[in-house]
Amino acid sequence: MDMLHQLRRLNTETSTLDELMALETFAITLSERYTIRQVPTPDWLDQALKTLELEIVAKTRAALELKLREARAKQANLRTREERREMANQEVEMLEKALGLAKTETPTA
Amino acid sequence: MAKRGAPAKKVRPPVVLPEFTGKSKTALIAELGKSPHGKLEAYNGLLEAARNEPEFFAHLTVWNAAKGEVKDAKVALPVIALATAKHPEFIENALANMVGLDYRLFVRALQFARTLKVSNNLLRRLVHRRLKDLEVNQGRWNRAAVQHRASLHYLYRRFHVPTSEEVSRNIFGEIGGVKADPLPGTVFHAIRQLSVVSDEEAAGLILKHRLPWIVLQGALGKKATSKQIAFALVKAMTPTELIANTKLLQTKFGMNSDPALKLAYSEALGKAADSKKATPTLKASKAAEDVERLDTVLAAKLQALQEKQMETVEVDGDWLVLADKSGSMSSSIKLGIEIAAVLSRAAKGKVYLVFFDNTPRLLDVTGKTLDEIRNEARHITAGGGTSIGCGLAQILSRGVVVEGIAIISDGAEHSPPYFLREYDKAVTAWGKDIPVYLYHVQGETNTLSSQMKAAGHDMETIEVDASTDYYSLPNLARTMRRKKYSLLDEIMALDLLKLDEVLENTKGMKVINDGHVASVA
Repeated sequence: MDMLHQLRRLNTETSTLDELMALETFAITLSERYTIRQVPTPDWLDQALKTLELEIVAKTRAALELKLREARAKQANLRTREERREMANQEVEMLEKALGLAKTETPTA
Repeated sequence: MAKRGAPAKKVRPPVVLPEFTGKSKTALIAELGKSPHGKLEAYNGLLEAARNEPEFFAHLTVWNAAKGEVKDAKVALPVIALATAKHPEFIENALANMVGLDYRLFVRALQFARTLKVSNNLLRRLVHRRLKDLEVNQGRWNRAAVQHRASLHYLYRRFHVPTSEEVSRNIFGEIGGVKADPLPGTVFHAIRQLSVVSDEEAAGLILKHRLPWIVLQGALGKKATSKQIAFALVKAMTPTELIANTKLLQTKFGMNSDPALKLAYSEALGKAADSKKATPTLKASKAAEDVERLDTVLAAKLQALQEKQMETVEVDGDWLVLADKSGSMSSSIKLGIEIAAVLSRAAKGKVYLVFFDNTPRLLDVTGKTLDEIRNEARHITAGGGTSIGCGLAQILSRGVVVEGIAIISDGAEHSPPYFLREYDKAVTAWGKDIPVYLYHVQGETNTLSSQMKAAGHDMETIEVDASTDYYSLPNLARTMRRKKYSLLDEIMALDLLKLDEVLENTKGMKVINDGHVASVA
């Protein structure tokens, strides 16, 4: 299927990020040609550009989020014993506070 | 006594493999696609045949190890060969094929061998050598111990293999009778930690040590359904596991509403498609059916993977598939579509699918996907009389020539044109014998086979019933050839294996004593 055909029958769900990027490049170039020729850009092309923008942003975000999860997992494994103890202490403190069990300091005379 | 309200347990019919005669060698090969679902004694019927034709059986064992899809057959054939072989070359080939099994299947093979009275000393020397060969490479040993701990435990203990401290610690959890935990920093320690550390840490351990899914299922405990580690689980799965767990990822982990997880799955599927280990089954397509209602993107990716897997199968020539759509043959319609789909990807020539009752309905399915063929055949329903020959008559009248015919039917014919008559016409018109494969489904009495036999035509019959693994259809298709004996030639051309080739780290370590006879079976 050629690029124009793909763009006209845009299906972002089955396309990879690379394919969407390529389609977007083509769509932008095509839109610019319409402008240069002083021909109004077709509605379907405007719509395709908007759809591509949204989908590329969403797919990029998903890729970054996946990388973030991997990075957090690696980070969790590199914590020292002290860091883990500190995190556990913080969790206990938070829970005690929520339950109203937090210790309060008594003023000395 | 069954619990109240519990559904009645499904009883599988006993599996009986066919008698192994010289004439039905290729039929037997095709029927190795049938799974007895763990009951290896179903293969005991092959003992006599293995004794009578040890050379063929030795080569068949090697062929099945490489091309077969059914695990039970991969376990049973080398053991049958070992139990019956007299020539040292065939004994060694059988042992080498057993060593090629993963450790879990290796244990099953050893247990099966004991039932066939294979020499315990021979088995002990084989196990010793395999374990010593493994121990030479620490990384390999660790991976095997992680994935097959229970099997290694059995092998070391049952066959009294001497162990090092590390083996004792990580397999038996003790050294010299004193409890010994895995050392920190090791993969074994990491597995112990999985259920007690946070979800993020668990995910990190899985990624760091590349822990396999098969281990994680038990080791993770309640975390096994944690969404926070789902992405790590996807990375841990093999292509087969990924496909098998698609529904789990959808329902338990909410993959559809998690773009990052969906992306991880999608990337893993992409790697599965490129994998050289792709085994051509229909599992990907089945998974796609489950997924389709939930997510069309993933369904499309699974279908693409299915098509890619099919590309590994190749069959020569143009083919005709005759699928019985007469009354009560709805299973035959489905099977006909699947076989046609396999052939359309595998065949180098054209593929014609004809649904028949009293009249034929011809579809040219050359190069079409399973999905496309299903779509074209969506209005085909079972009903009407039976004329197996009408499909062949139709293509003859159109001047079409094929190199092979696959029939999916119960083999009962009631109306002309009858298949035998049309087949004789085709042989005369085309000037050659055409191989015919009957995928025999349950139904009325099979008269076709006896008619073809009486007329002197060689037709291979492949029994299809509840125990047939539909997901192995592509491998059954692999056995179809347009030249009658080319599959047998292919099998006999395979080299037999030697132990020194498969256990390179322990070359020269003797397993077979001089003058040894494998068993008294």
